[in-house]
Amino acid sequence: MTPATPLLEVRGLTKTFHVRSGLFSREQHAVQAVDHVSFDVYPGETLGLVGESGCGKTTTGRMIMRLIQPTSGEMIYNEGSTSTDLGRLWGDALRKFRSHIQMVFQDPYSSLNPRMPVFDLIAEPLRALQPELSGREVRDRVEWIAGATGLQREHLARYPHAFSGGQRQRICIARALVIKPRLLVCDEPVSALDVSVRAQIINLLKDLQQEFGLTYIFIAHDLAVVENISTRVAVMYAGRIVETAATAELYARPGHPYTRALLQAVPRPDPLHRTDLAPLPGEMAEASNLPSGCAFHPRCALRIPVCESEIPPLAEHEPGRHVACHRAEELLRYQA
Amino acid sequence: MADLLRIENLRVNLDLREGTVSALRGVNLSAQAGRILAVVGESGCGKSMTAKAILGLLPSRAQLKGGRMLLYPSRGGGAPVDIATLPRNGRALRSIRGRRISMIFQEPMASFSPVHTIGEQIGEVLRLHENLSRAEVRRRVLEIMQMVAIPMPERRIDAYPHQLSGGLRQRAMIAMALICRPELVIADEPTTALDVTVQGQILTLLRDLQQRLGMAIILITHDLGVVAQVADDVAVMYLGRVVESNSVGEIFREPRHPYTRGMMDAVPHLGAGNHQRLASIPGSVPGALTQVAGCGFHPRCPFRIPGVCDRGAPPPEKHFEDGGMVACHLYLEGRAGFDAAVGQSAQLFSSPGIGEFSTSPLPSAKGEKA
Repeated sequence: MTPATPLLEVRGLTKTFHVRSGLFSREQHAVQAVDHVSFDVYPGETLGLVGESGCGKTTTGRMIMRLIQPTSGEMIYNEGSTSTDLGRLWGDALRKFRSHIQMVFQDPYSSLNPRMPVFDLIAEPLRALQPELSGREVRDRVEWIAGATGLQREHLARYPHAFSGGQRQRICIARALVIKPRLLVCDEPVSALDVSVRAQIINLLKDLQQEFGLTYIFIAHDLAVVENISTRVAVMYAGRIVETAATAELYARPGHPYTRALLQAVPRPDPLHRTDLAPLPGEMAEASNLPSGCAFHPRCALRIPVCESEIPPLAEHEPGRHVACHRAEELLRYQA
Repeated sequence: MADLLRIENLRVNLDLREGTVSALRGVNLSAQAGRILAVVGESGCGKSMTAKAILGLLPSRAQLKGGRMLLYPSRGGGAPVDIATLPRNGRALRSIRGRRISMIFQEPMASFSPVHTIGEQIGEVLRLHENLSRAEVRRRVLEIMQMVAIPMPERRIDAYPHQLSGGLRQRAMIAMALICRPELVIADEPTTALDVTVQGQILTLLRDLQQRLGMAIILITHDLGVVAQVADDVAVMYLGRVVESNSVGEIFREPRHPYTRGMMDAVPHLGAGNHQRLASIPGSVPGALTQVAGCGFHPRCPFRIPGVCDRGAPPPEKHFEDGGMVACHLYLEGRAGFDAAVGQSAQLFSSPGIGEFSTSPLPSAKGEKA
């Protein structure tokens, strides 16, 4: 069972970008990239954050890392009896906090400085955040995490270009974990990797989680990968969370028509069961031009008049399952 | 079914700063009219290079070193044309490219010119290959836009690429590839850049159009789900060679090559829950400059036979009665194949745990020329 206190409580997280209307226009309009997103992350679990490009999942991850400043909302990080709002940390306090939360990015080719040897790449966060460590302590820690992530000692003297994508991602993971964070935000960590290597990295992340008691936010668009690694899943559409549930529940009985269609559209690696791959017409609306009411309604086969005027709230329809849909009750009952 | 395109022993070398590497090491493939052939493989296996060779679009640092690419006439008899012998950028090749063989690229944004309208770009091949009036070209462009289900084609025909969504751009790209009614379409990762719901729409469209127009499609992909849902035939490539081929039903029912088997086991299945541990193939695809002796897959293969798989030439092809082909020593010289090699072991590909990770190729693989 999940313990009572979440490690991270996200409440009403919102990011509004201001973009110019045209190349030469001075007019600006507001784009709601992330709109009142709320979720909890419990210690030791993996929360999968899925959705199609432009749904706001990456922006959400980056706000938690404070790489993007939220427009409003809270991100409460609980440790022992102290609670900290990540959004209100600045300067030194923010830097210190980075030893609690780290991130692994999608592209292991562009996220490593090509001019630094692997040892320095992994040691960099340690030197920046724990300058009191001696050279010897740094060396010990780097070798320890390199071993834990499946790198070999002789790799440490080499430069990133000598490594394949999978090995580079191991370096990125080592770099994120060397300062012993509690929460790791993984933004599409395996999408740039070859199929045969992808499984290695997923298994590595699972092993590391067990060994170090890590908590993950796993952002990805690949639903099968997310299912394999996540304890719970949150589905985003057009800047909002439309459904959260325990992984098995969500995949077996999706409570939102979008979740349902998303699962249907995944091509199954089974030629004997050819499925309708196009359950959804159209594409996700752009954040600058969202439909009224439920943003999903123009593509939804189940829409009723109220969907066009009212945004459905994210409400708990079953224990542990939150759905933002006017017809969630019916959909869940239908699949019961 | 008669072959429309047959590639035999295609070899391509690539000049890199560090030296010359063989990118294609004897590719054998055939595409048939009315069928979708999926070419599957990971980065560096040569699947895109094969496509470029067929279209005569190899980069200048690549040289054709041998082999044939026979394009058969689709109607009536007649001798095939060997594309490999046609001069690059010559008139003969240009009359094939775009008209008899066309291509759909991965990145629609990068493949369109930003300063020309969608309609101009879709119609360009038609203007090049057929002597038509402007009005006639426009009519044909509108017709093909309708066929690929671009809504409101009369409005979209004068739009610029950036004004279309990703899915519509990919539809426009398909329209561009199909407007001359080619006999063969090569689609290089046509849905990789798209979201899953849009990917499904595009795959459905390709499947429908293929059935309506009867052309052959070579679908290059790394996604086994896409293969299973769309392809009729499958060819698996590794390090510049086709290591296994068969019909889609057979190859998923009984993958013969350890690499094919390993890839299938490494893919998480939807609905399998979060308790399964994925099997994985150890190591990674060797870099372009690594010369692997013997079978290209042997440094990663749990079933390699020392002294056999790691030396000499790559294993020859063995053909089966079900139409399948495999290039693997486990099936040669009286050996009983993959299942016998696995024996009682249920776990085909073990997952390397923490700290256990094979990186550099085996000693036998170093410095030898295949």
